[in-house]
Amino acid sequence: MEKGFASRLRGRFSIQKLREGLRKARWEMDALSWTQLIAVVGVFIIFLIAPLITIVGRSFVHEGGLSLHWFKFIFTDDFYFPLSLRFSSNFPFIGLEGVKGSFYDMIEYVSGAGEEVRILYLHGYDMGVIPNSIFVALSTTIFSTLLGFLLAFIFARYKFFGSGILRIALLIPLLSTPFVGAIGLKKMIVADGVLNKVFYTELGILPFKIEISGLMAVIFVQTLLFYPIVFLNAYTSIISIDPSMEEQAENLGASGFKLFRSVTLPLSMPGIEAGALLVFILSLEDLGTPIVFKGTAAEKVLTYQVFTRMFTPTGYIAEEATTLAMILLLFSVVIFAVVRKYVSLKRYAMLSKGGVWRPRRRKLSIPTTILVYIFTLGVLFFATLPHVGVGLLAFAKEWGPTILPGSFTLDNFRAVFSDPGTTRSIVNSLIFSSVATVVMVMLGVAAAYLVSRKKIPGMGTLDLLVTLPVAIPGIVIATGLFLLFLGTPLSPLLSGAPLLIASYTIRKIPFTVRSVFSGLEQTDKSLDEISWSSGASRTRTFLSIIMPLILINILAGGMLSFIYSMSEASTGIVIGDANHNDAPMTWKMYDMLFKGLAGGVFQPAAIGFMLMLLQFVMIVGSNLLLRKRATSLIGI
Amino acid sequence: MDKRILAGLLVVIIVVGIVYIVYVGRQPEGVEEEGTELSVITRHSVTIWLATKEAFLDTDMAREHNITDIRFISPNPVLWIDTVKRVGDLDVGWGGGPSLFDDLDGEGLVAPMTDAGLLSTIGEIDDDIRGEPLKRLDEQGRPVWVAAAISSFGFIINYNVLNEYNLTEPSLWEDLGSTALAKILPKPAVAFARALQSTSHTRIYEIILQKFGWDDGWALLGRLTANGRPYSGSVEALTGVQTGECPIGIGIDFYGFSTEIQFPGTKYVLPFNESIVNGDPICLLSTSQHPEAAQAFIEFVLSVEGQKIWLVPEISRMPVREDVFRTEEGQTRLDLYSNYNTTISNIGIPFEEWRSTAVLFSLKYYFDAIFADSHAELVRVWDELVSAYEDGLITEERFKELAYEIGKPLTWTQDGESYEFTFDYASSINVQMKQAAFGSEMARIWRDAAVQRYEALMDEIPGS
Repeated sequence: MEKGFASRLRGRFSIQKLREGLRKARWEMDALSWTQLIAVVGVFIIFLIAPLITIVGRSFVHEGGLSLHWFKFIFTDDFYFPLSLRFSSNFPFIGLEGVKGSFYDMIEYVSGAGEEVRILYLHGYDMGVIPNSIFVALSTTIFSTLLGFLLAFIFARYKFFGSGILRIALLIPLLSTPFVGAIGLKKMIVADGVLNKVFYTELGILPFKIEISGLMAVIFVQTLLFYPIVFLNAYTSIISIDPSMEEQAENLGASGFKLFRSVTLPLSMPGIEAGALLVFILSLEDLGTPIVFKGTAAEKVLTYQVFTRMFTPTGYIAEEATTLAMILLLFSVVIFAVVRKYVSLKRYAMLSKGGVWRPRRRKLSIPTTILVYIFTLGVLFFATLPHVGVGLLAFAKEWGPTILPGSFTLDNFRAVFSDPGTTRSIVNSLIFSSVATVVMVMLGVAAAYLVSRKKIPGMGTLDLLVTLPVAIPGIVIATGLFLLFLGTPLSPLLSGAPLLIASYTIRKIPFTVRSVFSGLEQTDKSLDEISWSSGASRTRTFLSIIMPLILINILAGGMLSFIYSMSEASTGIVIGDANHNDAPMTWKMYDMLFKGLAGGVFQPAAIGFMLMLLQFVMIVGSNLLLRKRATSLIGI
Repeated sequence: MDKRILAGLLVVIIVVGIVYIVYVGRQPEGVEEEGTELSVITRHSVTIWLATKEAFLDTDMAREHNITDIRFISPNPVLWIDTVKRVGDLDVGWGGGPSLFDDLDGEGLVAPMTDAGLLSTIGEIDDDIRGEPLKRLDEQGRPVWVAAAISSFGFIINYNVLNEYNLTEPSLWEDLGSTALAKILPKPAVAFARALQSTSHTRIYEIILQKFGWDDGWALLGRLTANGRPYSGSVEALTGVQTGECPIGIGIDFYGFSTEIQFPGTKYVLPFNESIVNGDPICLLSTSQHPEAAQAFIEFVLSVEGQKIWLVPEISRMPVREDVFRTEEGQTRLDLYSNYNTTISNIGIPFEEWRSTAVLFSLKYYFDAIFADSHAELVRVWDELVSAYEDGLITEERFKELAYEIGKPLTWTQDGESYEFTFDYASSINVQMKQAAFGSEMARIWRDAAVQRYEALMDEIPGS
């Protein structure tokens, strides 16, 4: 075994291979390519790898020496990891200890009006910070996958009246509004919320009020936010299945569930798995939802604990927080490795280009169409609750304990634009996101071009490097950047601009890279060769042949990167909090909602509403530009 | 021209243009090159910045010192000391409570005020209000900070929610720890903030500890927090009340006053004879590059004209000078004047600042570890205890005994030695608690000890 490994290692790193690699590099690389490579690698080393190394390094230091102290500290602390197995002689012989509390409580009281009221208070168990994070991510993944796949299957396989519009409507949760979306939803699911008002007070359908709180609320909100990712991925997989495969299976006698189980489902699995694993990562790194539901067990998840324990009262960054960030990073990167190994993102991008054949779609009968409508509209009802909530709040003058706001107004928008602090934060976001987008386009085009065209060693690693930010939680990058640059001229205390631009660039560049990469893959390489043979240099070929051909992809990727930079929350609130003058609009929303006095929830909702509109325009725009290639871009 | 050069030039123009907009183009209009720009580090809201800036720049005082602009920065309070040191040219510190300014002073970042005009204005302000200092002097008797506003501490009630749950209206701190508010548990009745994230709520915990004594104070805090929900900051706790998540929330007075205006059905309650009045300071920073101009700004803030800023309805803070209520603008805020009179006539508790400073960091970590981090366990044991008492399973005497046990200072064993969280112990480790690693270690020990205590108490409650 040892010998086998050693020989494999020798095989990979033999002198001969190195020489061959260098020879290829000399042939493939020109001045432009070297500049591109150095720029991409340089930026990623300074603003991604170095901050991550700072976090990793700090987690292994205790009392001036290398130590596993902080890992031991966390994994032996019942607050973070209380679970243990207890062996006994009684069946089932093994018991799990450390799960605390009850799944729900029934609260009964007599109201001031003399009415006997019961509230089913759903909050879920508390298993400690680390298991809670995994549990939430796992539950969100399972529910999002079930919901996303079921919808994808219906829409990919059946034709019915209005299916096109419904399919697009199901993507509404992709319009993400940090904090206010979850707050809009929270307003619906608390005891005196809109759902109880409708189903308990008005219609009398429910025997008691229902309030969803704690970890259950986080899972509920995240499922509604993230199911479209599975839906899109699964939908693309299903419509890309070669119809002849299923036809052959039918000829061999398979039909109904057997056909689904043995042919359709296995062929859809890469898309479903890719979507599900991305949902797992996104759920794990989500900070906004736990912030909205904090004060309950919802705050006992890794992202929130890093966020809340980062600064001590004297302004130091606690080792406890950096170690928690390191653990979070580890979980995300492991899942990312699984994604790349078993359901390669690249392979997925290729799948999305399928569909040259006409997918098998059956027409639904009217009764079945009605059933599908009831189900889809039911999902849509809950999925659009945050957006409807944000829309209503944005235009509400006041919203007391009634189903709808008492009166509507445009004052919230006027207040947003008349407050210099708020307008400055919006301008900051626009400027930082624009600069970051320019940098992202320059670096993203360079990276995608190198990975797509240069067949030299190391390009796989470069591909990994530029896709890696997908897996790295924002709070981890923010903590690393803060820690690394605190005592430097780029300190966020002096100006938030440099690190915010850097963090947007790093976090959102995968959108640009994937868009440009998919364009390059569809551009025949023989065009490069023809250009070279006609006497054009590699640089000229890149600028005058390749660039014009992938311009649409650049534009679409840039638009998505821009809009996701505008709505970036975790790095915005951590870096923005160090210097409020340079803080972005996501910080302002956070500040107005949780730290500031003026505005309450209505003005942040107005900002959120405008952000939703901008996202809508940008996402629709990039989809129109890319047409069928678009599905591989959205959702990450 | 070669297309490459064109493309390169285009990119350079875009980047330079954007960088220009970011760093140069955002300079406020009207800044003359030779004018003085003051830099103020503050915890006040943007509304206060703007009102003050507009009023001050329009004064002769500002013109005399050629002050053309004021730049406000507002970092997280834990980063204040670092920011003042790193930025290196900040002129004035304004708002955030006495502890924050004492910390700045301790780091040598505060300069004594020496301008004759300013000293004369400071002379018009009382030295203390109901025993609470409104000025801090250095060894030579020169003022290092002066209160620009005053605040009291109490709680805000949302009557719509209180009535819905049919809860008894509280009027004193001890009411917040009563069984009457435990009726809707585990839904919370009292919004409170983590001590590590709120200086104003920490002040309330200090008031309770000094009013009721160390042991009884912790016991009351145990019951109060068991009736409540921990929030990440004082504004979040306030939002909890405004949105109806909790019927009651503890907080500083001006949060209460502004809530009363914005949310009908809410009211700020000052616990009768159980609170204190705090001055909210302003100071000259030792890093100031324009000390004369900075002192002119401070003089304006402390003058009658400057104090009118607090009367703006969206601000609604209590000025440090009573004479501002005798101005035309002051006469339009009789509601605030009434609150002012209630506040200054309320007999405060004999609050000793040194006791608060001596245990500040220990208190913050301890409070969060046993009441916020272990909140679910705390609520469970209190809920069970109240139910057992109301069901007649335990006597009133036993109930009081166990209720006291919930919050009384913890005891624990560390490296074979027994410890108790006494005032002396908290004071002895207070400086060490500033170190992040030590803070984390102690918080963990207290968290574990608290959970063990709550679980042990559960075993003593019949029927649980």
